[in-house]
Amino acid sequence: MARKVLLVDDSQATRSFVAAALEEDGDYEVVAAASGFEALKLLPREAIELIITDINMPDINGLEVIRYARSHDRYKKTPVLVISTEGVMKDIEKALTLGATEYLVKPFTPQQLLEAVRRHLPAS
Amino acid sequence: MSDRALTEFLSEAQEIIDALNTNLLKMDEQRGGSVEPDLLNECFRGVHSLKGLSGLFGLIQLTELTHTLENLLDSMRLGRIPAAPEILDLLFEAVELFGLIVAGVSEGVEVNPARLAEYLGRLQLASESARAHSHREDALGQYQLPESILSVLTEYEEHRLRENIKSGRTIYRLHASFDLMTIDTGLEALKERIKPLGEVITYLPSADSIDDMKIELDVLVGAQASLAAMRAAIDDPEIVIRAVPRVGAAPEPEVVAVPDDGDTGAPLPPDAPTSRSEMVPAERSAAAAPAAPAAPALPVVAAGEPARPEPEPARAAPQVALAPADAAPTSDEPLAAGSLRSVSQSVRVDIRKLDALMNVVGELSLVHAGISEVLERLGARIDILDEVRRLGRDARALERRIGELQSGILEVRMVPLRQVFDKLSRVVRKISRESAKEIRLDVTGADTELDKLIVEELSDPLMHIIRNAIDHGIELPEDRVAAGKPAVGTVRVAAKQQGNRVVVTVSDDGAGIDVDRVADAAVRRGLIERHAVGELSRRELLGLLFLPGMSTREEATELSGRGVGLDVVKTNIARLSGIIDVTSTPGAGTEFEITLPITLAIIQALIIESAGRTYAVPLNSVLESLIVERGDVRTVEGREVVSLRHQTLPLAWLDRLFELRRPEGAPAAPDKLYVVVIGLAQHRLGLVVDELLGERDIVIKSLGRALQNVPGIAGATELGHQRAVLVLDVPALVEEARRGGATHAGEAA
Repeated sequence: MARKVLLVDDSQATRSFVAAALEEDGDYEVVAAASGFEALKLLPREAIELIITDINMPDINGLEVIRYARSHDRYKKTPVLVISTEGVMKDIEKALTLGATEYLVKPFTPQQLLEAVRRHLPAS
Repeated sequence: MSDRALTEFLSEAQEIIDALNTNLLKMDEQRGGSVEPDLLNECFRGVHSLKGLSGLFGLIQLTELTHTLENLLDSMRLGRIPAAPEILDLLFEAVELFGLIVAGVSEGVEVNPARLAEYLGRLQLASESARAHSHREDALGQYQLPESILSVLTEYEEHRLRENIKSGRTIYRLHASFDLMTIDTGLEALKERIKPLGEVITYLPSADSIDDMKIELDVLVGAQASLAAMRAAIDDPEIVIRAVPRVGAAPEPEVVAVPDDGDTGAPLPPDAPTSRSEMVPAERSAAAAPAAPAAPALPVVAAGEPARPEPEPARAAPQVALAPADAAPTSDEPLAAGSLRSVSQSVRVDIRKLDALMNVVGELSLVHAGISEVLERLGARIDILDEVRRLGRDARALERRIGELQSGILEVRMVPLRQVFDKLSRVVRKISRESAKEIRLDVTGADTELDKLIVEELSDPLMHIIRNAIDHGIELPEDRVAAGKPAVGTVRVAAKQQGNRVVVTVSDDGAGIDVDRVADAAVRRGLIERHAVGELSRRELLGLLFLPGMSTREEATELSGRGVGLDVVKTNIARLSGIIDVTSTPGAGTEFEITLPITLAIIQALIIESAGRTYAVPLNSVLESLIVERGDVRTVEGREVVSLRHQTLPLAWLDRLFELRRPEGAPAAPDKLYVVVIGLAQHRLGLVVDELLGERDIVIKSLGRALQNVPGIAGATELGHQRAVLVLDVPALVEEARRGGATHAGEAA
């Protein structure tokens, strides 16, 4: 069975781009959340094996998603990949402090993304 | 890259740019005062997303532009650069450039690199003016904010927190618990109540209370209001409000996890005692309230999902004391099913798909019309009376469903005029900048909805009229003051719905149009004889502005510009089955009134016959139908007219207009005439026809290129059984008859 990745990003085009990379080229199942709130709703009810999140989102930002996940027993050790544009290094540092595993700076190629995901969650 | 991905990208890019424009316009309105921080942050976030996207899609120009712009916006939202007018102008330029670049992407062309580089240079320069950020006396130090909060604030949120503290607001922490299924509505309601009080800095999900059914949130708010006022305004004992203590006050106890066992009476320990009298522990009121269930008793259904008739006991059990079991969703709920589900309930649809659907509706109407015709013929057959009745019932049901389908599709096509009005504001800014005139644009009725296609086509004509109004209607500030007017000129754009039409007016408070000069120009251009001028009313003289010969640049200047390309405007409006009218008062201003149908996709039509041929007349331009006695027709100034309710109605014989030959043996002149009164706005015309055949819904189809410009014909339609019928172009007919009238008047004199 394909392994489940949660993707949190408020841009539809980014969600499509990431989903295409992971679902078509790699054998992952992408569960997408368009906001931090959606992620919060999804985390307890889905067996997520890796989280990919943007940081700058309205209301609940990516940092809060990371902290929320980390405080959940089930997600204490789940790999978290931060995707963000350059120029928000301070925010990325905070994400790493909160327990993010790795970060990717946009633009990245589908291949780079897939490699990063495979590093932390080898396809089954 | 796949076409679909690119289409999606372009569509999202356009949305971001439109939102940027809207936010800039809002900021522009706040010019002089302090700009709402949310607006700036929205702009930043939009450009930030666009930058990420253009990088992913390898669009270099777009990446360059978004990158430089993002730097500037970042400094602005972090308070290092003020939102000064010249900076806003610079940002508005970016919207224009974005538009050009994005339009180019789909065609594979780039924007002139020199232009982009020049603009980027200016952006860069503006960014460099940023004040160095000083944390010398960090406002955050004034409050006892636990690291658990500080560690999840983004740089921007930290900045907002600082700004709120600096402006003397109190920082509050609201603790609320939401049921997972109702959090969207619950949170919106809370937001609405907080909004008038202050600024929401961030929402912090309480990590220590992970629960599959609930989300605990701390909301960080900066507000001027006192704690008591906050509590009164929020008015919800379930929401615990506390002021974040300042340094020196007793330390704030960390929020304690809410027990999961249903003992929710007091979610938080009482505040530590402080010297601030208003810091009455909210928990008392919360504790006093009975341990009400946190979730509403009724099952709440997430948008788009069917209600679950039965709770799932296994999952709901531990929650029973806290939340009614029927509110508990199950893990296999379609909430997260499908890999790319988002909460958004809207879809983007290519308008051509809707056109295609509308055509199907048209075809269905034809099928229905065919059935009705057969039914009519069967009507008298006694032997199959039951079958005929049943068929009749089914036909009526079919008609009703087609009607529902049609109005459903029409509704989807409707968009608010705001889409084009927002663009206008940008143009007004630009032109007023160039023309050294100060202009205030006053827009009303932006929520009025029209068919998407009409809204798009309206953009150019409106821009044209507004440009004319500013360039040539509104006087220079000093002239205005001398004339006793305010220095700032006003252009008003207003829209309102009237029945199945929408009226858009564009008015200015400029110098107005000098009709004598209009007449002089028309005579010189040979559009009208000098001696006819005296016969024309002021209204008719103004109407000359819409004639093709009046539209040269040279004449324009002579006429203080009115009439530049107005014939083109008129043609464009007519293509939308609309009409345009102008009124003007010397010294006080000019008003253009555009009347448009709400949609072009499908229309009701009156089917008529003349000289043995069938035509369709769009019903939205039919005012009434009459039977007139031949003896009542009089001739006034060479034109046949009848008197209708004390007003003179000019008549036009359709067969004569189209030079139709009557079939042999047809009665030449019946005693009773069928007259269809057609008209738009105040121009009316009685069309004399032979027969009225009834009303139908029709889809107008174009006649094809060769026949496109046949005067008086708007298109063709089918009436069932492959019978093609021509659709009359009412605005053109009315115009034709009016012009005929004017020439008559000229000849008579």
